[in-house]
Amino acid sequence: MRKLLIVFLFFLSYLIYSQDANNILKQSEEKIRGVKSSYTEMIITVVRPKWKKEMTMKGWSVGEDYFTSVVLTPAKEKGTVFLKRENEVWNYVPSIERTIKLPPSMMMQNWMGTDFTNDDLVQRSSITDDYTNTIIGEETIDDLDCWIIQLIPKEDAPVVWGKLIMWIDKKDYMQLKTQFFDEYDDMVNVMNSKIIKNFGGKKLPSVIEFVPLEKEGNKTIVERLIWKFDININERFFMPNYMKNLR
Amino acid sequence: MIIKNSFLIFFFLFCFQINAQEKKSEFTIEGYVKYLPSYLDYNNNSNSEINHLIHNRINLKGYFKEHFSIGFELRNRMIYGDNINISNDAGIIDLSNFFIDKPKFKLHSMIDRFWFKYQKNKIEISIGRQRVNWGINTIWNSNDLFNAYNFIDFDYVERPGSDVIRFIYNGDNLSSFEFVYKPNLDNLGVMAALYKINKIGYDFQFFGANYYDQDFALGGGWAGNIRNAGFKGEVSYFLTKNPIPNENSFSLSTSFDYSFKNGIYILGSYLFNSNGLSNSNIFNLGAITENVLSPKNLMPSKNSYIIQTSKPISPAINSSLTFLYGQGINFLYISPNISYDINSDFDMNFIGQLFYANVNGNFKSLMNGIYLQLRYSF
Repeated sequence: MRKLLIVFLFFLSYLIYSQDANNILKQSEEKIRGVKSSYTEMIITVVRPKWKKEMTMKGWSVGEDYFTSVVLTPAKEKGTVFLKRENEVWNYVPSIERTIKLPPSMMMQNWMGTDFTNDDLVQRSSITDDYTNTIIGEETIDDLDCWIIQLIPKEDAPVVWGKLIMWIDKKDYMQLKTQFFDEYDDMVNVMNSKIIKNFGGKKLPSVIEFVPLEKEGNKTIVERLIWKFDININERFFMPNYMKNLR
Repeated sequence: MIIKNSFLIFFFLFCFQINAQEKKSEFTIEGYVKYLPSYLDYNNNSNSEINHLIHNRINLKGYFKEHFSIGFELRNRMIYGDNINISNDAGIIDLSNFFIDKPKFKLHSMIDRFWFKYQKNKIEISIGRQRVNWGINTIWNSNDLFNAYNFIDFDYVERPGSDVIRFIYNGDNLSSFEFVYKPNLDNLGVMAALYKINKIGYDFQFFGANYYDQDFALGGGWAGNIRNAGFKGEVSYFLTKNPIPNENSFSLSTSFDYSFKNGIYILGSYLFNSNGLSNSNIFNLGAITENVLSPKNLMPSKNSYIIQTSKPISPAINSSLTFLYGQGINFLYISPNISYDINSDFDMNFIGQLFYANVNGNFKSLMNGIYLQLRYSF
């Protein structure tokens, strides 16, 4: 009986602990997306040893389920739109004036030559619904106390990674660092956040560096210029028929 | 040309006036300049040609008073070469002109978009030359009643516009209703209605149309997934008004695509064209290279298959390979392609086009084309 109780208590504490990890992730996601909605303008720079590409774009989101973004520069990609509604993703290509529905397998493709995937951009998978999350430790990054959380994808989750490990600061719930592991448990990418700024009253990292580890000198840098939360966004923005009008 | 000039003057005056009146108005100009040299080798009569093309596109857009917008796009081409032909403007008003028209040297301009649009809440009304893109598949579009075009012509991805009046109502749950009227001076033109809806993770569309004097058209299409692969398709049935039987046409195109974790993308597509040929006796290369298509006849063959694969080599370099096979006529088309993003303004494309078919009972090469495309975008 006692053994059973211990097992039960162990299981309970595990539940509570994992519930905690979920709550932390939820709060940190809510910080990035806003309670209701968010709007951002950013510069994305793809860096290679002898080559560099810079893009600017705008993005809108409502909750976890609705996201849309439009590329502003360079000229040849201007007007390219990605839209997510729940599990469905569309891409508008301005040169051929067509909206293309993307298959789920396309989510794992790199987005427009960057080091992150289409899924990273539109966040089709949800870090709270598609992963089992546990706090595995604590650490300090740049004088900020952080939880270390391990995310293991659930079976059948539309996820490319074998595992994620995330550092989230205890005070402001900022995602300061993420390690990405493949299905063989090898670390393949690291995402570092830096230059903390105040966006609409929230402390958030303004620069994210996405570094693939297998290739030296490769990285993608995302710099947020504007980041607003809980603003009113017309629901038309998330309609496939409206993608051609985003600018 | 007088019409064109007055169009231009009107357009710029219009822009100027709006700019002066409305602070919220905004105008954008963008486009590109391409240099495209090509080498074509005709194996069956040991001829070869070299052509040089300078191709410029200017896209102007204006947004004013919140609900109004205007689009104006111009395509200018200067061609020097051994064998060059440029097709005429097929619109209701001829908005094209040859500034130079010599056998080996041509300078041609065409306005291929010129539209006004009013958009408020769920309603969108536009009038003028525009692209009405009802296609769903990447390559063969049985539903594309207005802008069907030759996919082998990689130099014109924008495709010609249609002169139409267009009304769109966007309903709930991603449903929409669209009505398009394309008048024609000699006949009834095209009057078509399209209904779109999103259900069970699929985009569906259904249309009915009066298609010129000859046909009624009925059809539909879908875009969704089977597991992680994309599954798309289009079906069109052209019901002849002529009482002669067997003149109805049927077109079905469907495609699967899948993207692997290592970046390799693969697309497979099938087209059934009831008007297509099932033997090679009357087939010639011009049927493919010079054909400005109708959705009633997207390929000369009855059954056609495509496999296209692409792989990014680096963020700057992309490669692709296309195989097309026309069954019955025994036609094979192979097209390798390498693109290089030099910097944010310049890109380069290297394209090969190889055509094979049965000639007098022997399967042999008809033509090999090599193209280089250097593009500056602004």
